Amino acid sequence: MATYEEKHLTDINKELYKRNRELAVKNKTLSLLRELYQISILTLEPAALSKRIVSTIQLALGFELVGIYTYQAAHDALEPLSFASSQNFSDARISLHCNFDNIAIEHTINSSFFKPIVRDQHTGHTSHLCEIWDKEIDKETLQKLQDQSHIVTTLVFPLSIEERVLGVIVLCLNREYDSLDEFEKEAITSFINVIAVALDKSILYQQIQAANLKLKELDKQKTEFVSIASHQLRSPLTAIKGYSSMMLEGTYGELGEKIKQPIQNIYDSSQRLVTIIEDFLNITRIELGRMKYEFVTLNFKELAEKVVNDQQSAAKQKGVVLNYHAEGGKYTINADPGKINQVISNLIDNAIKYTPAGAVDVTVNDGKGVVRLAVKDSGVGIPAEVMSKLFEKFVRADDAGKINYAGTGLGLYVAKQMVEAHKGKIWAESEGAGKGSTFIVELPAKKG
Amino acid sequence: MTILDQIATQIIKEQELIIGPVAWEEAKRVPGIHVSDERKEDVIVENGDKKEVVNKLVHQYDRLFGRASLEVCKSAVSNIIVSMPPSEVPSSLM
Repeated sequence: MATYEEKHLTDINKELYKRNRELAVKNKTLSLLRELYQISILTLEPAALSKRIVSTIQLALGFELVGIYTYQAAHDALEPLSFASSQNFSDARISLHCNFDNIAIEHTINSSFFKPIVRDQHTGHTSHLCEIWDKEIDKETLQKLQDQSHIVTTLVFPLSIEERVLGVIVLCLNREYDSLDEFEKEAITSFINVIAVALDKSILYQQIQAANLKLKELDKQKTEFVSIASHQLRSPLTAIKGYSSMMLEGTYGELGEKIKQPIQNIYDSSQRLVTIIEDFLNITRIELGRMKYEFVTLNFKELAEKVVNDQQSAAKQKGVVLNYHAEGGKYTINADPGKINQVISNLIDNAIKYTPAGAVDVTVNDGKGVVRLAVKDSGVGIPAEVMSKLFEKFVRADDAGKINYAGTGLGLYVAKQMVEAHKGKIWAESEGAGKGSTFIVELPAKKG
Repeated sequence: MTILDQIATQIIKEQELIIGPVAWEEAKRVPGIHVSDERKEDVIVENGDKKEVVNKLVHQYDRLFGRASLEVCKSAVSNIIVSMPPSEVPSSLM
């Protein structure tokens, strides 16, 4: 016979067991929630997210079937997203050829079972599978499926955010709901909200992705349009430029002094437009991946010197001194001469344009496996806030517009793309507005 | 592993979540329960009346920890016994 002390100890033991069980229940619930939370953070795509969620819940709680549907309000339909089932359920489904993975549940508002779930966000429960798929699958098959997989209760919870129903989760159990233990009940009520938030986030992600794709497509169409439009503009412009040049050269007879300046203006403007259109065409070629490079072995120093010589008259006209300095070295590179010429021309042209008075110094050197060109001016300089986006499209310093109205802000972007296509680097240095700037290009020297 | 071996293993594992390693110690005291490796959860219900051995295992926990432990045992194996003929289910789990 148990003594009073022994009985007392047994009572303490039982009480401790109850407390431990409560803790174990909470522990298991928290572990499951943590797992679901991790899934929701790491998985963005709705189908992948729901697949991992249903598998985790099915494994943790041993339900016969766990399924997630999304609610399409426009069609009043529940679209299947993912299912996970027990071996029992899978076997029964295969033997009965019962497939509802791709079947939407339509007209929920007309369904006495789904209407309170979708409209009023109530929980639905039934002991008959045919209440769920009453129109989609025949009753006899559903009854056999229910019997063979031992489903006793089916619970359907709305997944909603701020009274907006995103979908439902279907849980098929082999027991009555009341026979679930505390862990199972607590876990179910806890994970519904986690799933709703995760689903909401993943649906938003999907919508953003779709919008992004659409934008990319529109951007591509825009680029194509600019390309076509630019090509169409170039032909008449070439004619305007050519004829005005011929008129200035006297091909059609000597021009009177009164008409000479307007024709010169036509020629200068058409030249500026040709440059702008060429920039646009380069951009479209780059963005459509159609820019072609013809690499040959060339001497970088000779090329740079030629460009400097070509720009001397423009510098003189502007009253800017253009200096050139080259250090010793081989200067052999593998490059597309036309593209590198364009890059150097652009940098020197910019330096002359943005230097109201003073000097532009061009220096080249060869060493440490690279050839280097530096174009230093004493011009308007580059404010710190512009520096970081200087090589982006349509970026110009505020002061730049006051000095060079015709600039498009595309030249440096094109130059950067061309330099990078040669596996080189381009960057700018400036101590700020009014303090001049230096543009540097480095290209890999040819080995051997 | 027979279905009754699985039931015994599942019961001990579920009790372990609540009372820790004591669950394994108590299981080893039950005649007919053979635990060869706790880490591998290798439990064998020895031949003879296997149902009765499982009943004794359930009773062992019930005797020490009361009715709550019985509910834990039933809940732990509910997914297994649902597909068993009632005559094969140990009476303590009905």
